[in-house]
Amino acid sequence: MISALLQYSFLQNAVMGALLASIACGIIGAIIVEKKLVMMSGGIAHTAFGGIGLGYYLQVEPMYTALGFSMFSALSIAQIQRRSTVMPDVLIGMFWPLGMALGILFISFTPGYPPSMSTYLFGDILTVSVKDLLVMAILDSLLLLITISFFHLLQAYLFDEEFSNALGLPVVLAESLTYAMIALTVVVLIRVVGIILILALLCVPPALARIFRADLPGIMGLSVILGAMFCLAGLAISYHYNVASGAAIVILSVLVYTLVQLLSGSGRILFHRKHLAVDSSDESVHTMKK
Amino acid sequence: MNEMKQAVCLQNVSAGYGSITALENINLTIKKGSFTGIIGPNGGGKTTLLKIMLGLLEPWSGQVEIFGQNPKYNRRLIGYVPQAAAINRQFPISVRQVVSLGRMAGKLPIFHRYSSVDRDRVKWCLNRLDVLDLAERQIGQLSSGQWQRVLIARALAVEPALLLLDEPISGLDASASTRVYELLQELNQEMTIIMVTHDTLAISAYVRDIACINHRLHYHGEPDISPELVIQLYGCPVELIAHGVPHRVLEKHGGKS
Ligand SMILES: Nc1ncnc2c1ncn2[C@@H]1O[C@H](COP(=O)(O)OP(=O)(O)O)[C@@H](O)[C@H]1O
Ligand SMILES: [Mg+2]
Repeated sequence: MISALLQYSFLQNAVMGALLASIACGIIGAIIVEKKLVMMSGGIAHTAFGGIGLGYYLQVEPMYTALGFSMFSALSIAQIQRRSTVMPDVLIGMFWPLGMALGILFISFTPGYPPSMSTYLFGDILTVSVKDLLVMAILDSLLLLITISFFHLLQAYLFDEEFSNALGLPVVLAESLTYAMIALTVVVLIRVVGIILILALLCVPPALARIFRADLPGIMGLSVILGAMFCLAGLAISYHYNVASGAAIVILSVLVYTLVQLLSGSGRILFHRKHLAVDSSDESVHTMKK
Repeated sequence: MNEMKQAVCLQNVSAGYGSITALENINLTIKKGSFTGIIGPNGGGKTTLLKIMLGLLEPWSGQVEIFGQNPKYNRRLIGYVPQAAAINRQFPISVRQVVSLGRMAGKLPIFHRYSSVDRDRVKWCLNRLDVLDLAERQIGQLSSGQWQRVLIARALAVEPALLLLDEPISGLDASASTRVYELLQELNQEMTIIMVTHDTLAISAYVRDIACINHRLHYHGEPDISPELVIQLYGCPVELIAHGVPHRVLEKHGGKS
């Protein structure tokens, strides 16, 4: 594969795509896992399908219309949640199929042969174009910029929304940024894992990373690395066995996660031991300092 | 602006959630420098009352003033210690980072960094609550007493003039609670304190005023509650307040039971 890599530009694109995908999946994966927005992200991802359909119908780049759809849905969902007491579950249950329904609708309106949607549903990293890479790189930069420049605000919002409100922090801004970043991430990941399989790539790296790290930046960083490993390995499998890259990445990553949890569990034990070792301070020997 | 003596002033405040009324027509003034215990049955509206003072919940009607102003403009003067159980302790954040969050009030959130003044204040708070040696630990790895003190340290990091605590000793053993109370008593020399509590020790020995809330304000004053009031408040004489408590809480409630 190494020689092929030097030879074929489509493989070089695929490797770049895998690396760019891992940045988005690591950073936002960590955020959605900690904020319990995993299924919400699934819902937002599926609304992007409506955008893909619209792109075909209007004959514009589906990635752009997908971004419009997922961004609009994400911000609308956040807005509805702020204004009402509706359970997030219920909104997910509406917007998820709405996106799929709109996608089907637009595609059936599109004249001529119905296009194959499997690239967008299951990912096809081997056909990532330079233009796709450019879009992914721009969105990744935006994600990094937002995360770095608003890190403390995001941390406060993710950790304790009520206290952030009590401090008078702009919690609405933090929430909007979070939902907007989920929408951006969906678009970055569509070409690599596809709409239907995005969730696993968002969940598995941070779920593994939080076994080994107990700080948010650490979990984000390790998730990026793990995401890159899964994406590259998935790319190799996809290339060799000619399967959809999304399928390869998802099967591989969930399998690794399951094995880590079942076989070792030692990561967790080591982690706890390390922390308990520091704990020489017993509650009872504490006395309040005057 | 007049030199106000009141930390909190509620006038005819009613509040609730959707169709549920939690507070009805509350009139309550709390003087600067006081140490007030809020007692009342579960679901009586104690937490709601704190949220009104914090400006987290808009009252349906009535007026709320904190140091003479709408709470929204005075957030930097209030330190809030929420019920400890309400927070996700799996979150990947260290004790120091949690306490540092208290320093974000009123700062520009973009490109925010903690200054050396912030770091010093955080260290001071950690030290004051005796959790400095736990500063780098993830918050899931603390005992409930340590966690409670971290939450108080976070509220102190704000440098508040008014400290609001929601059941700060639930889950703590007697000696841990005593330490929290002693600290609060010290802090009371610098700030006004309002504490929701079920604890008789606090009511009898530490707080200087109590307010009894059960949807309405039933009593506000020194902690000498009559058995009749307890019955009115809780529906039945509550052991919590009635038994085994030193001196000034309750007269013996003779024939009643
Ligand atoms: N977020 C909420 N949504 C709806 N009802 C609530 C909410 N929080 C509290 N309540 C209701 O308001 C009333 C007062 O609750 P609360 O202030 O939490 O009481 P306390 O703190 O005294 O136990 C209760 O009837 C409770 O069920
Ligand atoms: Mg309560």
